[in-house]
Amino acid sequence: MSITVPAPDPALAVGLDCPLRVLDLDGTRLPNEVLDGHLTDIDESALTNLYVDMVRVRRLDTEAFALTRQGHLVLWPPLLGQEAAQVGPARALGADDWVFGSYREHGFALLRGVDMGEFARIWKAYAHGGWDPHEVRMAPSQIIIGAQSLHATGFAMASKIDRSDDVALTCFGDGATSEGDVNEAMVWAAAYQAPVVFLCQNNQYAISEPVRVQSGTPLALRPTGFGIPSMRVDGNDVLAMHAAARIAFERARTGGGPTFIEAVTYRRGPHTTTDDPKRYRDEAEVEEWVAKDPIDRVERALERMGANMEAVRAEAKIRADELAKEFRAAAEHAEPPLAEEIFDDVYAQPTKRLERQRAEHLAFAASIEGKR
Amino acid sequence: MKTFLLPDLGEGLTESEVVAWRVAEGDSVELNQVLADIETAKAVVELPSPYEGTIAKLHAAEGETVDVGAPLIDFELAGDAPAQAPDAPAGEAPAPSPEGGPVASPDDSVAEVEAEPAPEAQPEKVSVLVGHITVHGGKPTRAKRTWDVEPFVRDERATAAAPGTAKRRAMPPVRKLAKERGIDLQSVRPTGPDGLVTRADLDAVGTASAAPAQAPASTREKVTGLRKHTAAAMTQSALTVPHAATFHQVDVTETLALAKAGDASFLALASRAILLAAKRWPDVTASFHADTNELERFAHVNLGIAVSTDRGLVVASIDEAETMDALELTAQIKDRATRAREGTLSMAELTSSNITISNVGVFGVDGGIPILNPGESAIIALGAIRRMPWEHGGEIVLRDVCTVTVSFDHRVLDGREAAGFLADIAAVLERPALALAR
Ligand SMILES: Cc1ncc(C[n+]2csc(CCOP(=O)(O)OP(=O)(O)O)c2C)c(N)n1
Ligand SMILES: [Mg+2]
Repeated sequence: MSITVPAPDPALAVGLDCPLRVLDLDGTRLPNEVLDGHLTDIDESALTNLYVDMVRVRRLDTEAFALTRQGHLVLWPPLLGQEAAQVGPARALGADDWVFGSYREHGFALLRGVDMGEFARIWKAYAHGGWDPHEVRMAPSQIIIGAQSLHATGFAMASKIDRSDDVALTCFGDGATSEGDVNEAMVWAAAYQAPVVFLCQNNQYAISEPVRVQSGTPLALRPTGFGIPSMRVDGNDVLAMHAAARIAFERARTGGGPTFIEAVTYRRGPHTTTDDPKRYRDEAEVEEWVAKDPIDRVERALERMGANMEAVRAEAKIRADELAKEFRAAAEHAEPPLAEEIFDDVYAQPTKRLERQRAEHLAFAASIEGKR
Repeated sequence: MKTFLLPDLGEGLTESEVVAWRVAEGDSVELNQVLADIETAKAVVELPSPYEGTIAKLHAAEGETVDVGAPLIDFELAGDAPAQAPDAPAGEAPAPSPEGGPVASPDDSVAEVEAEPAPEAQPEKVSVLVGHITVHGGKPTRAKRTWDVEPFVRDERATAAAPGTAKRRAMPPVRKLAKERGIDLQSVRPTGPDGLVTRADLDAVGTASAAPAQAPASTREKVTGLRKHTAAAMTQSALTVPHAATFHQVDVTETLALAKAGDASFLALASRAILLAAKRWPDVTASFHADTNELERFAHVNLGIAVSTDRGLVVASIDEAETMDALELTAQIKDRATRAREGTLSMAELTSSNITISNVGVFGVDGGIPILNPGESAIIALGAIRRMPWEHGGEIVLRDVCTVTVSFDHRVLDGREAAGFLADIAAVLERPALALAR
C-alpha cells in the first residue's frame, strides 16, 4: 500500500464562517447545498424517530444525573444539550461500523445497543469496561482525553489493509483537539487515508476552560492542516449532524479517507456531577443555548410538517419513562463485583501465574469468611 | 418508612451542608423532585428525591453540616407501594418493589431505618480519571514488578526466616485487626502457612491473656465548628500571605495611669493610639486581592478585636472605630467581648474588620507573631504590661513597659510603613498628650 500525504488546503473546510444548518430555531427547513442531497429520504417518520431517540437520550441522562445525587451512581458526565450531536451521527452508522468514544457518549451507547444494566454498573464503579465491545461495535468509554482517536485510526488502518468497508467513528471534545493523541491520529489517518471519521463535539468547555482560550480559529480549521477535509456543523441540528455524518461515512467507505466534523454545541450541565459551572461561567450564557435546544427545534419542524405532536410527544414520553425505569432499577440493584473478578479479564487466556494468584486469593478469602 | 442517608455528592467528600430545604415535613413529593440545596466542598447542588412519598422527617436544619452516610430524610412511602417513576402514564403497572429486588449492596446509601449507618472508613481521593475516583479503605500497595526473575520468591523468603526471630508477617486485614485489638504482632505465635499470623492466632491471644484494655497512645476527634473555621482561615492566611513582623518595647506608664484615673480602659486607649497611627498610614487597613492584583482601600477603620472564647477564637469588628472616642471604644470592646462569649455576634460583625488587635498580654506573655486575619494587612499584638527598670529622665527607674508587635502583609506594606505605623502607635502610648496634636 502506498502512502500519500495530501497537501493542506483551507478550502477543505466548509462552514467555517457559519456552521452548516438545515433546521432553523423555529423549525423552518433551510436549504443547504452541502447537506441537502444527503437528506432526501428523511420524511416525517424518519424525523420522528430521531426525535424519540433524542428524548430517550435526554431522559437517560437526567435520570442518571439524579441517581448520582441519590447515591446510586458515583459519577456522571451529563450530555444535556448535546443530544443532536450524538443522535444524528449515531443513526448514520452502518451496522458493522465501530464507535470509539469518550466518557460523555451516552447517546451513542444507548443507540448502539449497550445493555443499560452494564452501563449503570460502570458509573457505579462496579465495572471497568462493562459491555462486550464486539457485540455492539462500540469500544469502552475512554477517559484518557483523546486516546480513542488513536484506537479508531488504528482500527481504520486495519480495516483498509483488510479491504473491509467498516468505518471507525471517533468522538471527542473540543479540549481533546489540543491533545497530542488527536493530532497524531489525524497525521496517521491522513497518511493512510484511513476510513475514520473524527467527530468533535465542541461543547465550548474543557471542564472550566472555554474553547476560545484553546484556539483563536474554528476547531474545524485544524484538520485541514493535516489535509483532512472538515465540516463545521450546527451540533444542535440533528438533521445537519445526520447529513454531515452520512457524507463522512460515505467518503470513508468509498476510499476517500478521513473526515473531521466539528459539532458546534453546548454542555448545559456541569462537566460532571462533581463540578460547579457557576464558578466559571455566566448563567445568561446557558440561557442562550437553552433557546437553541436541539429537541424543541425538531418539535417545531415536525409541527410544520403537520405531525400530530401530541401523539408523538406521548409516545416519546412512554419510551423515555420506560428507559428511565429500567436504568434506575439497574442502578439501584447493581451488585458489587467479587474481588476475584479482578483476575478475569487480564488476558483472553489466563496464565498459570494468574490462576495461581486467583486460587491464593480465594483461599485467603475463605480463611476469613464469616469472621467479619 | 425509608431513611435516606446523605450520599457522597462529590467523589470522596465526607460531609455536606444543607443550605436550604425546598420541602417541609408532611409534604408529598415525586421521584426526582428537588428536595434541598446541598453545599459540598465542591459545589452547591440540588438533591432530587429518591422516592415518591411523604416527607416524614428532615434530620438536619438549614445551615447544618451532615456527615456522609448519616440520616438526612425519612420518607413515608404510600402504603407499602413502591417508588414509581415520575409521571408514569396512568394504568401502567407499578414498578417492581425495591423490597422484592436483590438485597441492597453494603454501600447503598438508602437503608432501612434499622440499618446501621455506613461504616466509618474514610474515603481517600485519588486523582486519575475524569476528575477523581474514591478508594475506600487502605490503598493497595503494589509489589514491584519483576518479570524475569524466579516467579515465586515468597516461599523461600518465608522458610528462610526462623520463626520467633523473624519479623511477624500477616495479611493486611489481619494486621488491621491486630491493631484494633491492641495486639503486638511480634508477640503472636503464627500458625498460618509460610509463618503468617492468622485471625485464629489473634483470637487465641485474645482469649488467653484478655489483656486489660490499654489507654491508646493517641486519640483522634473530628474538628468541627469554630476550630475548623479557624484552622482553614489560618492555613489560608499563613500559606497565601507573605507575613513579616516588627516589635517595639514601649513605656506605657502614662497611658496606664490615664486608664487607671479615668473610665477608659487601657485597651481602648491603645486602640485610640492605633487609630491615630492608622490615619497616618492608611494602607494598614487595605486589602490585597491576589486574584485581580488589586489593592482595596476602605473609607473607614473597622477595628477587629480578637476574643478568645470557650469555643475558640473570634475577631469581632467595631465598625468605623475612628469616629469613636476612648469611652465609646471602651463600651464597644466590652460589648463585643461579651457577645463573642455568648455567641451572639452577627455574621457582619464577625467578618467586617479590616485591621485587628490581639491582646495577648492577658495570657501573661510579651508577644508573638500573630497570623493575619484573612483579607487584612496588619494585626497588632499587645503584650503583658510589666514593671521594668527603664531609662526615664536620665535615670534608671521602674516603668510600665509593654511589647507591641505588628504583623503585616508584605505585599501591601514594606518595613518602612509597618515600622512607621508601629512607631506612631508607640509615640502616643508613651506620651498620650501627643494625641491632642494628631
Ligand atoms: C490525557 C488527559 N488529560 C487530562 C485529563 C483530565 N480531564 C478530564 S475531562 C477533561 C476535559 C476534556 O474536555 P473536552 O475534550 O472538551 O471534552 P468534554 O468533557 O467537554 O466533553 C480533562 C482535561 C484526562 N482525563 N486525560
Ligand atoms: Mg468540551
